[in-house]
Amino acid sequence: MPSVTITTTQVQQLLDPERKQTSVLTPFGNTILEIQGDLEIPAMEPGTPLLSPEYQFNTCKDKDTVRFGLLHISEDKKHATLYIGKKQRLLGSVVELERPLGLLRFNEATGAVDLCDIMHYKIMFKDRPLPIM
Amino acid sequence: MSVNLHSELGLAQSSGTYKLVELNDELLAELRDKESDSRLQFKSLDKEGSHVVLCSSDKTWVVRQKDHSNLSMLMREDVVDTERVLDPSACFGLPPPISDYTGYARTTYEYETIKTEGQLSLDNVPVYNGGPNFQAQEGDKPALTFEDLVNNSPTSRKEALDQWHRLAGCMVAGQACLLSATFLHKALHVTLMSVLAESMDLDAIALDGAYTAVSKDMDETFNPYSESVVETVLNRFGKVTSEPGQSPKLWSLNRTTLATWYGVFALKKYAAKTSVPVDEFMLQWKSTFPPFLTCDIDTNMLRGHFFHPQAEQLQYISRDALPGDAKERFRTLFKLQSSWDMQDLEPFIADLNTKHLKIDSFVMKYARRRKVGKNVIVTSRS
Repeated sequence: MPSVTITTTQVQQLLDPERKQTSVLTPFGNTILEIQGDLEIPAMEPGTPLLSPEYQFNTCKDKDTVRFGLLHISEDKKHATLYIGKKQRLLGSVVELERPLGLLRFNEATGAVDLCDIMHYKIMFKDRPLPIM
Repeated sequence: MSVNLHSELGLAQSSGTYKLVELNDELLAELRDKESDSRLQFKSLDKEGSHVVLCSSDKTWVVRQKDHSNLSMLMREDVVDTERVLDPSACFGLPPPISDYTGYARTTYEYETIKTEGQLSLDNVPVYNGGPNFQAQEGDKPALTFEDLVNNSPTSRKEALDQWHRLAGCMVAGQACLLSATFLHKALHVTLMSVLAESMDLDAIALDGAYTAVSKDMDETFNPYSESVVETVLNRFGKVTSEPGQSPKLWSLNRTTLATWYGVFALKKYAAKTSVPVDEFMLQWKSTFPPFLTCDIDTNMLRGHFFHPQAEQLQYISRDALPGDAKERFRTLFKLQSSWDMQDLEPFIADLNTKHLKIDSFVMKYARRRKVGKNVIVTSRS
């Protein structure tokens, strides 16, 4: 029977009540952004002619990235607004999860599984986008 | 607070590297327990297609993929290599962004964990009946140990051990096997007679002492009641009462379990073919006990093993012989006995209640029930 042991060393420190996630980001700097439907992000390499000037290509830790929007979290950390490009706006909220979600990282090369974070909140956009006038 | 959102290029819809799993209270407690040496493990019957279970040291959960139509993007706070000043019009009147989040994985499902009962896979486990020529495995197959069984079963170690003891699992010649019911009965009887003859306390039996007592009158050439068999008897009919690490390890035998075992044996012996009056059966039941063993007996202990063909008479029935189909099972049971006390009926039908309904509600689907005093009586619908 194939089996794999889950490494939990990293999340042990998060189980201390004093280190519990209290804001959008976990103490390890992770978060979940949930959107109804899909988010279209160009898959093209930087250097090729851009589809639209609103995209900003960049790099981060040796990986090519693209800026796709601006997120605003209200001061009370309950409401969120997401601006996609220059034309769409989504209204959402920061939701505390009924059951926390564990983030599992599967290493395909070694077969190892690591429980690397525990998320208590997610930023959720349940509604359709609104146009920006 | 405003944040720039980025995404890595070419993220697949559901990346295989990162997945989300629901952490229920029990799993969180397991993770929090720094004292336990427990570890979480994913197990699956094969590499593709079969259910995956998540096991801790003492619990098992089935892992189910819960799909949703939303897109979840996993993001982390990062610093992008080239900082770009945003055009004020792109800030929509908001304060300029103070940090950057980068999406590194997308997912459209979460793993749900549903508590289940761990099951030992006993397909390749032979049955030992106490014979001298026990063949561990055919041909060159390596002998199967208990640890192999745990590793090859969708179960936690503690659940596996409990089940192993309940099924009279034993190591014989380095091979994990199950003792046959007949041999287990003989081994129990011999063990009880031996420890009672030595005036041992049934609530503090040490394995060494019990094995020495059992071996006293045995043939020197072949003794089927090995130390491992005696230990299996102690585990099957008792529980360890000494503290972990305490020496010697002590077992206490459960009188109700012993009485029930002898009761079922008596039912099979005296009431299998014809019914017997209850009073007469009680005497027969007592007569099967080893001398000097005192246990309280009550027919309620044997629920699920007998029926009343007539008032004050009882007869043995094997649950294995009953039909697997619910309708057929009820029909057969009402053929044997026209009206049942709910408590007597329940053990015969409990395995059919796969949706875990309240037993009253489940019975109502196939039979009629009415209250008579404190008892619930179940009768056929027809």
